[in-house]
Amino acid sequence: MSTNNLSEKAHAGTTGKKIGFFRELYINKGLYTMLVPGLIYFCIFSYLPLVGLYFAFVNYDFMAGWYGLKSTFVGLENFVFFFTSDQWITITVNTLWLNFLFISTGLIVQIVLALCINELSGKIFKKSTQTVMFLPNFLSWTVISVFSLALFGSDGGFINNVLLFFNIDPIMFYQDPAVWPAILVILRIWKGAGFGTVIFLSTISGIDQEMYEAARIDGANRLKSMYYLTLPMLKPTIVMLLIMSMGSVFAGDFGMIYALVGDNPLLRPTTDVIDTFVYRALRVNNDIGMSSAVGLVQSALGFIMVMTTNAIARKIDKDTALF
Amino acid sequence: MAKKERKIQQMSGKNNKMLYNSLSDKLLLMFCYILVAVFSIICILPLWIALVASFTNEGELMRNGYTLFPSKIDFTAYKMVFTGTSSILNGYGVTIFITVVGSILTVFFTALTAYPLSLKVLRHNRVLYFFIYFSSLFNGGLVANYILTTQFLKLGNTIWVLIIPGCLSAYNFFLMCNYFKTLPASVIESARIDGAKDVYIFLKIVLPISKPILATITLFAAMGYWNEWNKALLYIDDAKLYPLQYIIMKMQNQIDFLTSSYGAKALEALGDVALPTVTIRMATAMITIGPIILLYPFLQKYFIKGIMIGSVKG
Repeated sequence: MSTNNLSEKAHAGTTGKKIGFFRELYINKGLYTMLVPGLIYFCIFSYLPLVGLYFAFVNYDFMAGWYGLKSTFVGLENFVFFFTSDQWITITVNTLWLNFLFISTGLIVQIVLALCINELSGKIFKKSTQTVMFLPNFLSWTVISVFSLALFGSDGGFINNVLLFFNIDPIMFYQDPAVWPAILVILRIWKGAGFGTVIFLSTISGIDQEMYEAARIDGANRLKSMYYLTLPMLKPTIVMLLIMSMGSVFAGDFGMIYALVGDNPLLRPTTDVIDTFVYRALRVNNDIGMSSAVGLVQSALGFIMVMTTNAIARKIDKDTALF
Repeated sequence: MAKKERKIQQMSGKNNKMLYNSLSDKLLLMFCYILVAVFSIICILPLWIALVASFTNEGELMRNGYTLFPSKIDFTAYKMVFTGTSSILNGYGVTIFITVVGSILTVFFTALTAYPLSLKVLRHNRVLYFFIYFSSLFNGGLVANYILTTQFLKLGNTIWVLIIPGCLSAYNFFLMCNYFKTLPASVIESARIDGAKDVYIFLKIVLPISKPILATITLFAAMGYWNEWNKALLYIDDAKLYPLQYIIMKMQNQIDFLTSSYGAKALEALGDVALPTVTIRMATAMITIGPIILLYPFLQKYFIKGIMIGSVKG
C-alpha cells in the first residue's frame, strides 16, 4: 500500500473531501468488506420478508409459482374477512388490555422495589435479594409454564393446597378464563421485576448525594425525600421505558401466552392475542392470506405507535426522544 | 481516583444512615426490608415448589399435592430422565450445540458489522446505520418469515433454523456500536496511519479491548439460544432436533409425547412402575434450568452491565 493512498484514507474520514463514490468504496474497501456479511443478513432476514407483505392481498396458492407471489390478487378480501369475523375485537382488546396491564403494573412494582432497595444498607442482604429477584428473568416461559402447573394446577396445585388448608374451595385455574389476566400479570411482574429494578437503581445511583443532605437539613424525612427527590429524578427513565414499550402494544407476547395457555380453548376469551391468533391461522388452519393480512395491520399499527410516541416525546423534551 | 470515589460513597452512605433516625424513618426502613425480603421469597418460591415436587414420589404428589418440603426424597423422575432411551439427553445435546454455535456467530458477526459503522470513517455511514435500524421498526410478519425460511431458504427441519434466523439483531448491533464509539479513537487512528489493515485492527486491537461488551452480548445471545423454543415450534418436526425447551413444551401439551419419549424400555429398566408424568416434567424443568442457576451468580454482573449500557440510550 502506498503512502499516498494512506494519507488519502485518513483524509476521507476526517475532512470528508470530495472524492468519487467508487473511489471512496475503494479507499475503505477493508471496512466495507467487513460490513458485507451483516448487510446481506439484514437484507435476507429483515428486508426480503417485506416482499411477503404482498401475501395479504392474494388468495395464496403455493403452486402458483414464485413462492406463491403469483397467486390471484384479491385486493382487500383477506382484510374484510378478518374484520367481519367476531374474533377480531376479542383479540385486539385482549392484546391492548394485557399489554396495558403488563406495562403499568410492571413499572409500578419495579419503581417501588428500586426505591426500597435503595434505602437498604445491609450489603449482603441487598446483594442476595437482588440476585434472587433477577433469577426469574433467565427462565424461559416453557419452564415457567411447568412452575405454573405446580402453582395453579387444579388437583393439588400449591395455591389450591393452601386454600384447602384454610378450608376455602379450590379454584379451577385452567378452566376459568376470568382469572388468567391476573395470572399473566403476576407472572410477568415476577419475571421482569429484577431486570427493571436494575435500570431504575442505576439511575438512582447517579443522583447527587448532596441533594439528600440538603433535603434533610430542610427537614425532609426518609419518605419525603423518596417521594419528592428520588421519584422525580426517575421521570426521564420512566418516560423512556414507556416510549420503548409503546411500539409493542399491538404485539401480543406469543412466547409467554402460548407457553402458559397452549392450545387450551377454554381460556381463549381472555388470553387470545393477535400473535396467538396469527399463529393458529397459519399453522392450524393454514389460512395464509388472512394471517398475513392481520400481521400487516399489526406491523403497521406498531410502526405508527413508535413514530407517534417518539414525535410526542421529541416535542416535550428533545432528550427523551429515541431518535 | 476510584478509591477516592468509593470513600466518598462510603461517607455519604454513613451520612445517609445518620440522617434518618426518627421513628417514622425507622418504620419506613423496616417496611422496605420486609417488602424486599417478601418479594425475594416470592421470586424463589415457584422454583422451590417445583424442585421439591421433582424429588417427590408421583403417587404421594397425587395424594398430598404440592408442598414446601418433601416427606421422603424420591429419585424416580430423575432416573427416568437419565435412562439412555430418553429424548431429554438428545435435547440437551441440541440445546448445547445451538447455544455454543449461535452465541459465537452472534457475537462475531455483530462485532464485525458494528465496528465499521462505529468509526464515522465511511461516507455512507448514516444510510447504512438507518438500514439496520429500520429492521427493528418494521418487519414482514410471521407468515412472510415462515415462507422465507421453509420455502425460499429451505431451512425447515435443520438445526440451522434454530441458529441463523435471529442471529443478528438491531438491538445487539446498537449495544456493540455504542461501546465501540467509546473506544479511544487515537489508538485506531494511529494504527491506520501506521498502515495496519482494517481487519487486522479489528481482530488484534479492537476485539481484545472490547471484552466487557463481547461478554455481555455473548451472554445475552446464549440466554436466548438456551431458552429457544418458538422456532422449533414453527420449523422443526424431526424429534431428533427438538431443543430442551421445546421438549418441555411438548410434554406440557401432549401426554402421548411424554409417554412415547420415555417408552417402555425406560419403564422396564426401572421395574414395574407407573410413568410419573407430573414429576418427570418437574425434573426436566429442573435439569433445563440447572446450568443457568449454577452459572448465573458468576455472570450476573455482565448482565447488569449490559442492561445499563442498553438503557443509557435506546
